[in-house]
Amino acid sequence: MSAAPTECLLRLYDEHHELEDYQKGVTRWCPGCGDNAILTAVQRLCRTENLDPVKTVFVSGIGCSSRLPHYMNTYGFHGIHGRALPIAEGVKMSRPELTVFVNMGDGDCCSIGAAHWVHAIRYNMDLTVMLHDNQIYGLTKKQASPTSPIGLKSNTTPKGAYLEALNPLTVSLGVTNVSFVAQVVDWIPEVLYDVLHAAFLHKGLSFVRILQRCPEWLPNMLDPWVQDPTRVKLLYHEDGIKVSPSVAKVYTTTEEHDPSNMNRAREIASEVDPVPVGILYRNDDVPCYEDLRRDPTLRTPQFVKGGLEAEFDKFTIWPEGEEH
Amino acid sequence: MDSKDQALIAFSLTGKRTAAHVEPIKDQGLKPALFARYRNLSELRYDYPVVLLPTGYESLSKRVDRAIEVGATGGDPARVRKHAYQIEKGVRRLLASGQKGSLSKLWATAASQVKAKAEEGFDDSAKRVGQALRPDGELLDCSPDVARTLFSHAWSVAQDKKAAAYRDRAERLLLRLKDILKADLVSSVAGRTPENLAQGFGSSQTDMFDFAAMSNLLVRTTPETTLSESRRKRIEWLVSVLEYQRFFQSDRASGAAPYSFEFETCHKALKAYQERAAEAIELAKALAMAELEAYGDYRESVHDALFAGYGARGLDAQDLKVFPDYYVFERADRLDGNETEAVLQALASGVPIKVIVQVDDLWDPTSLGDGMLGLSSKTRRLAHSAMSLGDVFVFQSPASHLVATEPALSKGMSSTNGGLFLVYSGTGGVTEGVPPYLVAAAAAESRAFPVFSYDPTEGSELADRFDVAANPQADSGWPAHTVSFEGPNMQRLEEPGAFTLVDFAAMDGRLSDHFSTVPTDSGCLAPVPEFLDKTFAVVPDSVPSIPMVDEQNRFVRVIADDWVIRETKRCQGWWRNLQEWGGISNSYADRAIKAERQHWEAKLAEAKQSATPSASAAPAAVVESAPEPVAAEAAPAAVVEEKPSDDPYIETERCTTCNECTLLNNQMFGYNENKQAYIKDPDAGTFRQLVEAAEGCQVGIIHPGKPRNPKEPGLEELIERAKPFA
Ligand SMILES: Cc1ncc(C[n+]2csc(CCOP(=O)(O)OP(=O)(O)O)c2C)c(N)n1
Ligand code: SF4
Ligand code: SF4
Ligand SMILES: [Mg+2]
Repeated sequence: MSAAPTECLLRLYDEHHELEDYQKGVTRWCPGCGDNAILTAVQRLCRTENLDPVKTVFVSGIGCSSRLPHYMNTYGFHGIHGRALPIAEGVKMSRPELTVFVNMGDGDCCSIGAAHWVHAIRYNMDLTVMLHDNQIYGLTKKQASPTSPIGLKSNTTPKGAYLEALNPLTVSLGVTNVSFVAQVVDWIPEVLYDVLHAAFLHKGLSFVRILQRCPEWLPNMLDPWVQDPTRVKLLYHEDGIKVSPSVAKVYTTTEEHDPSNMNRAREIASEVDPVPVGILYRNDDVPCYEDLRRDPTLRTPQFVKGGLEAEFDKFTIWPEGEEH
Repeated sequence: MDSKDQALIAFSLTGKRTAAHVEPIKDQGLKPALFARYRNLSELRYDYPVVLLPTGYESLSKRVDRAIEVGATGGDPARVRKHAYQIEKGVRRLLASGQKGSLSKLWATAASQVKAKAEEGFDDSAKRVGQALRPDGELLDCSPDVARTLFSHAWSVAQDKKAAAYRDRAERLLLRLKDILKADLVSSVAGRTPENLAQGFGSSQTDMFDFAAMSNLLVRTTPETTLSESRRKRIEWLVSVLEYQRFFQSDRASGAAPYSFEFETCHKALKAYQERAAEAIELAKALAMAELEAYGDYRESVHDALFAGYGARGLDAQDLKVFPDYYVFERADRLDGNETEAVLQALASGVPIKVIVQVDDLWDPTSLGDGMLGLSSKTRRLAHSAMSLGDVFVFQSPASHLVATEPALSKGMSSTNGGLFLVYSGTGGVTEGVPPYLVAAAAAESRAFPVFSYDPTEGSELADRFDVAANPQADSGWPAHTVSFEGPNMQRLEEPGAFTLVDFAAMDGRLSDHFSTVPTDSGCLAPVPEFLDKTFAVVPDSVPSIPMVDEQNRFVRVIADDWVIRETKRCQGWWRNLQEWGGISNSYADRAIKAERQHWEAKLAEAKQSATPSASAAPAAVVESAPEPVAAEAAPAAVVEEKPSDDPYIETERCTTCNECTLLNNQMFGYNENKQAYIKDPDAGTFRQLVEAAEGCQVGIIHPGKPRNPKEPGLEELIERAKPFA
């Protein structure tokens, strides 16, 4: 026996989990909503990796997409609008042994939470981040978001959006320390799963933008891409994702792209039609903030108290003549 | 044969001196010629003294050399080195004069004494090197008791490491376990009493709050699920076991004192081990359980039963490795049959014990009771028995080599296995005028007490586990040495030779009867290794001789009798075994290589005979292989086209789980184990529903097929609508 007895016991009784073990409740998303596909893909991912539900955390902000943690039978934190990333970072920092996923909408991440997004990429903590990009504020009933296409008529842009859409891929690829950027569409489940799986396996912050259909407010917007498979370009590579025969049969537009090639990744990131799908960039060598800052000191109550007292003392005004 | 030589041969065969030129060596103060230059050890830079460090120990000279390297970076390296060596010499002299203390203290004392004679820059040299000598430690010279101190120190270092590892682990576990209890209390009704709330607030300004009202409010919102009673009890038990264990020193003020692990005999150590077994099992169990409990992995349904029987068959090595090791220092001359048995029993039973056996005398009375001495076999037998146990670390070294073998010694001390450490002090014989250090070193040199270690955890081959490399010239039979001495006309002479057991035996006054001095120009003298290799038909034509020096360092020729040669041959046999175990020569491999060579030579000869000139002369044709078209593995591959079907079907793999079809009819459409839709029952609904689902499916993967009920109303229109989904 080479492993310690405790380890043996753990391994001996390692529970195997079924998909149902990760499911909770009935989704309240509209029928046809792309969030369902994302939920299924992450549940499959949890099953494949046999993640322990009590050691897995889904963190979200506010929006339709941010309801995802409710449907996962794991730990979850339905946070506040735009703040999913700082919460997730805090969880990871203090409990590095937990697996942490982050789900955000395009309003959540790219509008109110944009500052957190940029810094989270630079901090490169080991998180799997999903941007459910339906290009609209879904929950609050159709207001334009930063990723809404120019000309889109919405409740806040009745005459059509004035600005070109923000591109979450080029933004992410421009941030220092970026280590994983991918794009998928919710309607190719196999590729969605494969990319999320690769994102999960990556050590560091993996940012996955998912083009997500919102049949409630933008029923036909993505139809041209959903209905014409040639308008999806599959990125494949030895070090990226491999395409199965059944997917290859339907999606014939492809490009072999090496995820370590940043320059080409940036070019691909700017392409919109056909929409690139796959891993754009990956670099396994970027250090994670939680590793750089790991401190072996036990946070005992005395230690915490001592630290706090020392801080408070800095602001204490000592009465004249009193020793301190 | 010369009659003078006959007397030599007669002595060598019988031990009787029959002529005046064969003189006894007794009381002549002779020493092996090799030692001529080691008159005053404290003037030499050698392995001793050592510095006892928090991580092990190191020789003073090595430490000073390293400190010089660091100190010299400040400039003027030659001056720094010169002064440092002067101080080092001073330190050695202080120790030789009986002073004791830490390196820093003796360094300062020595520096202040050398200073009077010193030149400019001396203070600076002393300070720079002195600073680089940190960390500090006690200095230990090569006294008769040096082995006891070194082993005890190495053992303490290993135990300190274990204790620190335990403390870290226990602290981490206790923190988490207590956090669980605390979190439970805080969110329970008991934790929300006004008193508890007030306590959590601190000492000042409490009168600004109405804790009763706060309690009232909070109790109403107390969550339903708190810690189960069984879990709370378990955690409390774990906390108490981890806090009140006696195997390691702990911070808690009360409770019984920690156990001691140093014993005088294995007998006593074994007894203590047995008495503490139940407590050890309890602690090992608590550690394993706490590890699960603290991280939320303890499941009563499986773990309760497992832990109920924990340790019933004793603890295994993995469990034991967290515990301190038992330590016993024995003296070989006090090892009677009972205690020898206890040593082996302790080692065989898997008890984490380190047994040190110090031998002071390598010459024992033979068991024949004839008053004769023989090369002791006690340690040999002990080492053999311990090695035969399979999982015991066995180490042997004379005290002189404990510095060179420090890595192996420390490894053995921190090994999770039991360990037997044999050490020869060099103090027990009658070797006047030779310091114990030199006697010990001579024991290694002469193979009387070779250096070796047997580490059962090192590799699968015996040669990986058994190491004799630390012996002088380990790959030869006897270490070769050239001795130099003063010739009859005061000229310096050199003689190549070897150091053997004969030289070692000649050092001991009790064996002097077996040796005689003879004229240096005797004709029949043979160096010992040469003599051992000879076979004589009837009467030997030579006698074994060794070079020795007298007190004036004058060269003397000494011959040995047959008894010495017999002991030397036994010693040689044992050494050969050790060499073979250490992989220096391997008879099995040698035989295999020889057989293989013969086999190939035969084959070669055969091939030469049958080879046709053309075949052997023609160079092998180089076949230019056409580059294979490399099919990129990742590239999309073609698939077999599916036939259109009359039955309804869904391209399940492409389903996005959007719930459209399942909401329409969850009997007809269902989800598979991947939560992707398939036709669960084509007859559980109408063709109309199939067509509507196909139209509603955003990714267009539902294919309604042909109607199954020809009587369904409106079929004509539905078939038309189904066409795009064929
Ligand atoms: C601080 C704050 N500001 C605004 C809101 C209102 N609000 C709720 S959800 C939402 C936007 C949702 O859009 P998105 O993030 O794209 O998520 P979706 O619903 O599209 O998935 C907004 C503005 C809020 N809840 N909190
Ligand atoms: S509003 Fe849009 S994004 Fe929200 S649940 Fe409905 S379809 Fe999905
Ligand atoms: S409608 Fe299509 S995508 Fe939606 S669940 Fe049914 S088969 Fe799947
Ligand atoms: Mg949105």
